[in-house]
Amino acid sequence: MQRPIHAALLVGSPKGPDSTSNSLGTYLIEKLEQKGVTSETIYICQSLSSDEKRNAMLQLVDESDLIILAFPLYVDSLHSQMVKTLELIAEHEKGKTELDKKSLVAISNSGFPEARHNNTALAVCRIFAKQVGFKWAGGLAIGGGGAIAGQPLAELGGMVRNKTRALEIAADALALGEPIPDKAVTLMSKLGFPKWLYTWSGNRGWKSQAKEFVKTKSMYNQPYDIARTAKLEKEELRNV
Amino acid sequence: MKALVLNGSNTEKSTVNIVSDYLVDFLRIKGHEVDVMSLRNEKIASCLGCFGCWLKTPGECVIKDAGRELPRKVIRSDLVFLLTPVTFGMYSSELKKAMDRFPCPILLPFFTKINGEIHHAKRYDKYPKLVAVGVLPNPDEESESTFGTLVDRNGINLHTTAISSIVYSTDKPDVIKEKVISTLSRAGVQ
Repeated sequence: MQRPIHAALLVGSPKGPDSTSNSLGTYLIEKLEQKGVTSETIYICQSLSSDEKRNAMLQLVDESDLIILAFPLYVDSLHSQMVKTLELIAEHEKGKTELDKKSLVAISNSGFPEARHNNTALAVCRIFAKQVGFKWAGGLAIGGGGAIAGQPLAELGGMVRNKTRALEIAADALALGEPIPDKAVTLMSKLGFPKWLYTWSGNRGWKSQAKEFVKTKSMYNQPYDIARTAKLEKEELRNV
Repeated sequence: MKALVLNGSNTEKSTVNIVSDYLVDFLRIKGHEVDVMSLRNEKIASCLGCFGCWLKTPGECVIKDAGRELPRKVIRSDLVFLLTPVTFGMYSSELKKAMDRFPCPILLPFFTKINGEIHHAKRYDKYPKLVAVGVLPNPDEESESTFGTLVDRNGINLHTTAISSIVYSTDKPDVIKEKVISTLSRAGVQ
């Protein structure tokens, strides 16, 4: 792996700039920039909207020697837009040479408290790098992403100190052309607060957010339950 | 039994379509009700991650397109087949587009513990069995093992059992047919 000159941050969340993926990726980019690496960020949810934007994304990949994927975990893997992006990059790079001069890093964040939910998604990124010919420079897995909720890490204080430290260690290594050290991987996977507190406040949070739209009881609706649908239809007929 | 087949092939000439044809024929001959969705021909938008299906219209997606039908189709099926080219060890973007749209509406936002690990709680009492068939050009241990793990993890998150198998595009038609029948037998389809 060589020292990177230009890094591409591809944010794979449908929430784009307001996402936790962006908070994490941006922090890493800031630390890399402090070490002289230039960068450009692209939001996948915007770049797939037209051929022109797709081409701009592929051109950015061409011009970068460090590619950072930052995305949320979706159904145990990557969001469909992120998969589409990997498919497009793989097709674009077919037949090109010296691709191992480019390094790939992935940051996967999950709303579940355990970081290990991200393992499959990171394996997918590692396989992508191998199949395309990029150098795999490592993956970082984060649990409890709901606590970051798209806020800049620098504003979250002690709660994310393991994550900021992990990203700083990762930036130090990547700027020198080295893969992400195990210490960064371990620190990143630490929740930073008790698991019970995260799940308890998460459950309360959903109820309080839903209050604006529906009664708490309605949150448990089963609109596609056949028995319930038949009962409702019967009631409707009775009311006619 | 009611079966939903989600065909995630990216092209018309994909081996995934051959797998789909064998599978659908077999299920229909055996008298099962089959609904096939060829996803590349469906207008399905990507999930917005808005949580509207938990907060605004609980159990129903807020995007009004063919993807809104997926949670209903899934929950009213006994078996859901996921057919896909294995793409870097996972599903194709076509299949993933559909896969992103149905799990949230059929689950609750609230957390529950399964084998000591946090997952989303059930919205319904019963969930269909997942059966995934991935197509690879050639044997590839890493991709096959990642694909198997992904399907297993989906099964845990969707409170159901999940089985997976791999077909190679270099397999002869008889071998593909045999693999499809053996997968169905593992899924308990007679």
